[in-house]
Amino acid sequence: MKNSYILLLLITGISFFYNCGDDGFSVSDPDKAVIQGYLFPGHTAEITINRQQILASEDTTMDLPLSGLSVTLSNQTTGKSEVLKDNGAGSYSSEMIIEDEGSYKIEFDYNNNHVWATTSIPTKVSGFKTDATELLHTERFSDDTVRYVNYYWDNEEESYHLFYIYNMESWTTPIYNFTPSKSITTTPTADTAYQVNSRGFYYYGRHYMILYKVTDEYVDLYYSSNGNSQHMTNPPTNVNNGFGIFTAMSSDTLVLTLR
Amino acid sequence: MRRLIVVFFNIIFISLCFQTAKANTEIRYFDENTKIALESGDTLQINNNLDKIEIDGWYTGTLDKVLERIASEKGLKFSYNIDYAKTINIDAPPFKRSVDNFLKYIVCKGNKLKFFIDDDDVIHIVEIWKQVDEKTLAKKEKKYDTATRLNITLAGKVIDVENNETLPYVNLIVNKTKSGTSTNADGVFTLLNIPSDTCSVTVTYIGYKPHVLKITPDMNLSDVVIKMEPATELLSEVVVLSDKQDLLQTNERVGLIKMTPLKMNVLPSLGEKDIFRTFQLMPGISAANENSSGLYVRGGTPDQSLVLYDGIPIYNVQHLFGFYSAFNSNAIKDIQLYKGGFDAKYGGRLSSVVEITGKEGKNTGFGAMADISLMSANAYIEFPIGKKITFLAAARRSWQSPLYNLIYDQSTGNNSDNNMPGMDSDKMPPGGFSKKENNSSYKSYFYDVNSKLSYRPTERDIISLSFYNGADDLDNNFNPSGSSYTLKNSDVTKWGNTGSAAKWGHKWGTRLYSNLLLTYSNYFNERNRVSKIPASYTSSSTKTETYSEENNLNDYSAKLDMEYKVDEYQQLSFGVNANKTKTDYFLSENDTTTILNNNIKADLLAAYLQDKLTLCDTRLEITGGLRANYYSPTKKYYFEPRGTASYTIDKNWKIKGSAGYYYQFAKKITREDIMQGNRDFWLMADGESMPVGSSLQGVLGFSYETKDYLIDIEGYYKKLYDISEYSIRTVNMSQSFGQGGMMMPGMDGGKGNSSNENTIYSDRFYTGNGYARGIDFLFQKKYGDFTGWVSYTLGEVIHNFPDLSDKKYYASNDVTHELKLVGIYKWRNWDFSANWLLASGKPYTAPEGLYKLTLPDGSEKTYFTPSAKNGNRLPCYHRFDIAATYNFKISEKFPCSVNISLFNLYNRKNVWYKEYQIVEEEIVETNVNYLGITPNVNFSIKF
Repeated sequence: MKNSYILLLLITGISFFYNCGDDGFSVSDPDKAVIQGYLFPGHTAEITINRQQILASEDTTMDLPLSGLSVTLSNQTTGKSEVLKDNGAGSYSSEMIIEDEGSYKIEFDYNNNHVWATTSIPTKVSGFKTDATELLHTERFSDDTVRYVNYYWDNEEESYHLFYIYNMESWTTPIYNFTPSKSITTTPTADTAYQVNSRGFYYYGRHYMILYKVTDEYVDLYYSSNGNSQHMTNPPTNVNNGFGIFTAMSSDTLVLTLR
Repeated sequence: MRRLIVVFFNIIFISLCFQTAKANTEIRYFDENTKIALESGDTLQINNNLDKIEIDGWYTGTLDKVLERIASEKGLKFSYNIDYAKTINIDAPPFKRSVDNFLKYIVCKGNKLKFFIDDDDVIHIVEIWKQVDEKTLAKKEKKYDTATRLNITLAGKVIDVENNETLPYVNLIVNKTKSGTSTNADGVFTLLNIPSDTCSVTVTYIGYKPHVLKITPDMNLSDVVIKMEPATELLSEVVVLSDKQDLLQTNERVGLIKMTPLKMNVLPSLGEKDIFRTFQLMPGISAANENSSGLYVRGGTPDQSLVLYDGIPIYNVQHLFGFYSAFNSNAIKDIQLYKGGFDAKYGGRLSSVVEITGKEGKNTGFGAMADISLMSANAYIEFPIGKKITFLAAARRSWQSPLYNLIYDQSTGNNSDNNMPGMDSDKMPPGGFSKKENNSSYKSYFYDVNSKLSYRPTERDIISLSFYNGADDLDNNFNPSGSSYTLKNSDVTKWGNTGSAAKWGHKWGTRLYSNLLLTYSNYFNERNRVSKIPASYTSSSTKTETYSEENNLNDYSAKLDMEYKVDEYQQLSFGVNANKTKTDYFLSENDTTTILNNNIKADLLAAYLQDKLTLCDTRLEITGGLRANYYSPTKKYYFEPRGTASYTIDKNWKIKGSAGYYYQFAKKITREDIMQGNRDFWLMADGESMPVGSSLQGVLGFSYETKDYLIDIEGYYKKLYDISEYSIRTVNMSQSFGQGGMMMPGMDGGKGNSSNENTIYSDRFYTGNGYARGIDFLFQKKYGDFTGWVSYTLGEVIHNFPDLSDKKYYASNDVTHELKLVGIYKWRNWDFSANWLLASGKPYTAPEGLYKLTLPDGSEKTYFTPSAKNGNRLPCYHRFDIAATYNFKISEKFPCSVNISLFNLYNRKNVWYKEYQIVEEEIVETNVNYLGITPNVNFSIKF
């Protein structure tokens, strides 16, 4: 009697775990490519492709360029495509000029994965205007008044824009006693106006005020974080079977002189 | 602190000294010589109404003579120690008084005696702390050769002989038959179709000595009061106990664990004796969760457990980040935990039901108890008001001792293995709780209060009002000196539960019992943070930022439950429940920006019907039930069929099983963002972003039980549908500075819901499915000086959330193997206990890759890529705890006990979670551990 019960016990135990294999679970493969591609209309495409640093391996740096890949860039609207030139050190460039509009796709094979990404060129920046081309810096006035210059643009479709302010002078005259970077970028905004105040500059002289229209994937990247240790998530990316960013920006430029 | 304890002791001793000075007799122990002073000739019907019998005379002399006189005058029967009684002098003035009054005040009080009446109406007079053994209650059994009545019904209630508390869920079995029943939550029972009125009934209840009730023809069968004596050994040396009952009883029905709070104090504790921590030592309930005293039952999460305190649903069951449960065990009479297969009477949760019945308070006089440990103090009082009303109140409060701080620091992640090199103290690390910043001080405490008023207008009614309130309070003010960036001014978080219930139980005849219950429960969780930060980099003025978060759940419920005993083989239970729940979740910044505002009002109407049948000569017991729900937010009907069955093969072997469908309408969400304090909030399902969760469960098992041992094996399988996870991603504006960038006034950054300085990036509810399956093994030694159990669970919990992982993954509470060894040894006045737990590590997600992107403006961002979700395992969890309890009496009058426990004796560093941070383009991994070795001392005294 006892033996038959022991047998019953064993059968019960085994039958529950008959199928406790590891099938059906995700298996991770960290050897993936990272694309950095920014397309600007009127210029050729310059793409950087690295692979990510695998923590469990002997990689000690994040600088791991991938050369020798056969990367194809195609204009999905016109159908034109080309294999990018491999400049070495993970840098690839195109000969075709990026159009003002349309969508592009990049693809290549790496580590048995077909890696690809698409992006659409944002429509041209329109209606970019300002109410002044000169700004007097606050320091020149005794009353500490902050002066402003306003910029406006059309944004019916509520896309995101950002400003890239770049000092174009060959010899720069700093305003304060320190010399930071010559360029300033603002965070993406969905507004239609922007106000630059004289306190925000570090150098005198002429500045390119470049307004970029950016894509949603760029904004995602800009604001993203990796979640936190207890709820880790994949970083934002628009690359399939890989990581990184493949995006495009359209722009318009005005000049502002700061005196 | 030491001074406080010394003062406290001094006060007790001094007051006791005054008391003992009044004693005028020498204390001697009871011995086996008893004598029944007088027997009446024949059957004189005596009720328990000694207060109705009056005496009026001058009673002087030794006690034995006085009792003889009263016995002959009034036809009563006494039982007492003659020799001892001869040493006691009585001198009672000739006032008219009741026998009850006489015994209480003239005989017992001042002589350290007590009296009670047994089932044969014999009045026993014993020493006040005496535990009386079966043998000494030498009843003279009247032997009747022929029964006068056949096929009788016995109905009544079961009470604790010392304080007259009714005892719920007591088992009664008619000897020599297989029929039996149990008392309901109010201690009321009905036994149908007893063969004759000379049968005996064996009454058993965990924590009490078994009692045999001999039915006699002259007994009143419709209002029997059965008295049970607790099996506590707190007291004198001369205690002869026939049976010792253990702390844990599991074999009554499938998935049910019963526990007695009386015995919990012998187990090692992290503070006070804690119900939920004790449950964690039981099979099927995961113990490897120090930061939660909630119940992870068979792969379920704590929010899938319905916790009822006197019928009030409690939403927040823990204090101090999970180290304690929110229940004061001194105010609790009985606890039942259903690991699965619970009746149709309970609804709204998927995994388990914990039914806690509070004490009513004794109606025999004033009682009190106080407890003090290294981090909390606990007291309760109980007393009667008049004859029919009893009142009980219990309160508990923590104080910020080093032990409290140790637990607090550990819960907020401040005892990690490494110190981060070069970490900025004012940067928020990306994981878990934020680290305590420099120069911070905090004030934290928790408290809870229970009270209950019970009124018994007649023998058939009980009306009671219960009240519960418990909360945790955390005040995190600090002013970092030297930090130029952030100056926090106040940060107060408060969370807890309030509940109240009004109940009316009525016995209609002998077969029908009704229970009407109105309850209100409120869960709240509030955080208010006010900080002053500089308006901008270059400005010196400050602006005030406020952050305010509130979660409120209000639950109003009216329930009517009926039990009807059709015959001895069938019992019907049915009832209705109307419930209105309102949840609010509100998150705002700066009083003007509302980030989240979520209000849901839900009405839930439920009705159930359940039939319990005893077939095949009472070997087979089947319970079938159906619960039907209507839920207003989705406007749908939900049906939950349930069934359990158990078949007794012979006196040792039993097979049991259950199956059922369960729905859950209220969900507890754990937020994943970085804030201190309690991160949980409750919301009602709305059918869209948060669907109604459901589960299909089956349990099958068998047990082999002898008098001393129990082997129990149960396998379970639970399929879970529509479970939810929530995530809210927030980004501080400071992250957008980049290189040389600046913040402009009037900028509108990021996508979001509002147009001001929002920090929300995205928030979402994720829905998925899953399943849990496993086997629980239990081997228990029930009786003897050494008792204990070994339990082993093999299980897995799998989740499938398509938005979080393309393939299935192990849930965060998945523990593959869990082994628990618990032993309790009793030696004279000492109780020693130890437990060892071993569990597989929990799964976690680790980063596996790292890469950097350069944005067109020149700024760089570094990212890590996670491995497969929960694809790694933490190292094994194991710890060993021991405790010793010494029971003694202060001044021979007040029972006390001192408990010393050591938690995690060999100081194993068990990993709670791993934290990852990117520092200078490298990933740094930090282990955040659970508590190391922690001692605790607990002293309790009973008045």
